[in-house]
Parts: sequence; structure tokens; C-alpha cells
Amino acid sequence: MIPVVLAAVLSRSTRRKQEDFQKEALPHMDILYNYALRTTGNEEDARDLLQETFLKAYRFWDKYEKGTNIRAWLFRIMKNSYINRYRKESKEPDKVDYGDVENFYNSIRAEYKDTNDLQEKLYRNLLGDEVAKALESLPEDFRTVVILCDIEGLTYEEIAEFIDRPIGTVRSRLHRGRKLLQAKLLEYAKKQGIVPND
Amino acid sequence: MSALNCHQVQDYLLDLIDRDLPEHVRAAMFGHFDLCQVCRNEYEIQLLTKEIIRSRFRRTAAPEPVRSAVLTAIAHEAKSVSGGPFTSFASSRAFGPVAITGLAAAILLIILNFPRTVSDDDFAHTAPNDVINRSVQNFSLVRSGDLKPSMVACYPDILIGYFEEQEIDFAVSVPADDSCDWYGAVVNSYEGAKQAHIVYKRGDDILYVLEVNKNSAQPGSTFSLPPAARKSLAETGWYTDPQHSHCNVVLWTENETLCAAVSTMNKERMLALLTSSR
Repeated sequence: MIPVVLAAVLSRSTRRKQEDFQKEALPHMDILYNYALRTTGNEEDARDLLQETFLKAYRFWDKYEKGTNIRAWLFRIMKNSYINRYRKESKEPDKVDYGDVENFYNSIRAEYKDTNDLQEKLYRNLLGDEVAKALESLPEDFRTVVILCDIEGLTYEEIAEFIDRPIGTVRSRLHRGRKLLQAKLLEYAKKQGIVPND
Repeated sequence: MSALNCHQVQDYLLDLIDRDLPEHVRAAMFGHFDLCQVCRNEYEIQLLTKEIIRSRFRRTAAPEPVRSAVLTAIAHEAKSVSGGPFTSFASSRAFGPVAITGLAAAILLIILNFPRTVSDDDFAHTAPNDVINRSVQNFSLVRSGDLKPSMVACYPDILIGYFEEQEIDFAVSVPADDSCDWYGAVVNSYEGAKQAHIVYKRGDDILYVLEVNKNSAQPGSTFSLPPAARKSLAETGWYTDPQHSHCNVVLWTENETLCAAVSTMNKERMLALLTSSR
């Protein structure tokens, strides 16, 4: 009799765990998928990363403190999984001369009446692939805050909780991440002749 | 608010782009831009970058197949934890690296002490139905891409779910490898006997495992085995084939299942992986 009773108890607790998990964790699948997609750069890896994240979250569901930020908890699992899976080591950002970007912008800015004209010229011609490559080329820490802020639209406070760092770090990474992106995008624009070379 | 200098403008720049600033601060910022082209350019470039990123990467919902794959993985996980047919596999993870290393060491000892005083015929495995011969050939086919897994997953649990649906007459063993990039699986038949193929991809290494019903490898049955392998499997449950200079071949039995693994992977590493489910 004892094993039968025990099996029933286990089954009920598993069912409850599944229900809780389904109710609390699964609604955040879209934001995690988007982050996985932007950070891995392809759908297949994004799918694997998402699957791994949810499996780990399910296995460690008892470690999640109810009432705390579930999205941030799931996000941290995904970020750690990504680092482990792709063995990405935090690397130093490429050396970029930001002066080049500003000088260049200064020189072409005068040709356009307002920034919308310039944006239109760049938007129309810069392909999604090139923007994706520029984003993927960012060091992991910078890319994360750019994705969370500019694509996911999270507040600095939310990002700070997601990455478990102070807001000052969020600001500094965002600033430097965007600077690096500017240099990359300018490179692509020049290569394609969208904007004149020096 | 009094006029801002360049340093103060830099401090507020991110807030102007990403957050709501009090109206009087915004006015002071734009007042500064009217006078300072450098700061205005900086602001416009940052805004432009943000807009490009935002416009190129619209948020999308996770596609239905992705959503289903996640739900299936969780369902399998729940099933295995709550006492499904693969409970022993799931709980085996608790053994940890110490137990795995210990088992690997024990098996190595068995292998090292295996008597070498048998004739060459005892090791021969050139017959087309020889399990070792087939596993080595299949390993080559996997590497050349001619034998493709019909499903690939990043967790062994998914493979187990797949094998469960294939009506196989033996329990397929899928040792877990946490450092594995992905697992692949396919099932087919040879002379009416089911064969399960498992592929582990780990960096540049590939480990291939052929699994068949042990009964189908009995003398006179579908598959054959060299006498040396048969003897060692009967005595120890393990056999490493000495005939291959370019790869390692390990055979073992697990209940009613006969498994043959082939890899160019370091032998110790291979054994540690294969023993992780025991």
C-alpha cells in the first residue's frame, strides 16, 4: 500500500508544479524567445536555448522565490545557459575611434535639412542582416542591455534587476554598446555606398 | 532651469533618449543643442542608433513549433521525474562526477586486465551483420552526413520521448552528457530487427551509439559478434575492441539492450560519458 500512496502524492505534487510553472513561467516565453533570437542570431539556436532555459527553470522551480521577478529569474537562467552553451567569454570591446563616427556624422549632417531625411536614407538601404551582424558583434554584456532597452523596451530599473547590476552599470553599458553599434553601422553604410566614403 | 554645459548635457543624454525627463530639463537640453553642434550630433547619433535597432527588430511571438517543443520537453521532464519508465535515467544524474569517474576507472581496470592471449579470429568482425562492423561503418556515415538523425535535441530526455514513440522492443539507453552540443536520434530496421542510432555532438567530437536488442545478437540470430566480444560481454558486461587505430569502439549491455559506441573522442572521456547513466 505504501508505494501506491507515495506514487499518488508524487503525482499530485508534480501536477501542481506543472500547473504553477505553466501559469507563472510560460507567459514569458515570447520575451525570452526574442532575447534568444537576438543574442544567438538564428532561429535554431534560439529554439534550443529557449528549450534549455525552460527545462532548467522547471527542474529548479523549487528554487524560485514566489513573488520575486520571475522574468528576471528566467532571464538569468537563459543568460547563463547561453554563456555555458556557446562558451562565450566576456571579451573586451573592439577598439573604436568614436571621433570618426562623430566627424563623419558632422560632415554629412549638413547635407540634410533634418535628421528624418538622414534616417530615411539610412533606413531604406541598411539591410536587417547587417544590423543583426552589428548587434551580434557586440560584447555580450553590452548587447544584452541594448536588446533589453531598445528592442524589449525595458526600463533601466528592470534591466538592472535582470542583469543583477546597479543602474549606473546599465547606463554605462548602454552608452558604450550604442557607440560600438554606431561604428559598426557606419562601416556597413560606407561599404555599401549608402553614405560616401571618407 | 539655467543653461546647461556640455558635461551636464552628457549626463542627461541617455535619459533624454530612453526616459521621461522633466519638461524644464528637456527644454534646457534642446536649448543647449541650439548652441552646441557637437552635443546635438551626439544626441542625434544615439537616437538614430536606437531607432535603427528598434525598427529592424520588431518583437515577435515564439513560433508555434518552438512553443510546442518547449511544452513537450517539460512534459517529458515531468513524466520522467514523476516515475515514468525512465526514472532510473533521470535519477542517475544524482550520481555526480565522482561516481562516474569511479565507474569509468573500474571499467578501465577491467579493460586493461582483459586477457590478450586469444587468437586474431576471436576479434574478427568483417561480416556485414557484425555489430562492431556495422557500428564503425555507421560512424563513418554519420561523419560524412550520409546517416542523418531524424531528430535533434539539446537534451537526452527529448530523445527518450522520441524512442518511446518508435515501438522499439528494447529500452534505449541515452547516457547524458552535460557538455554535449546536441543529441541526434534515428530508428530503422536491419533484417527485421530494430536499430536505434544515437549521435552526440560535442565540439569537434562525434560519438555514435548503435543499440539493438541483445537477443537479436545471439548466435544464429540477426546480428553477429566476434567471440572475444561475446565472451567479455558475458563476463563483465563491457568490451573494447582493439582493432581500430583511428577510433575507439566500446560495447556494453544494459538489461536487454546491446550498445556499441564509436568515437574519435578520448577513451577515458568516452567511458565516463557512457557510464553516466548506470
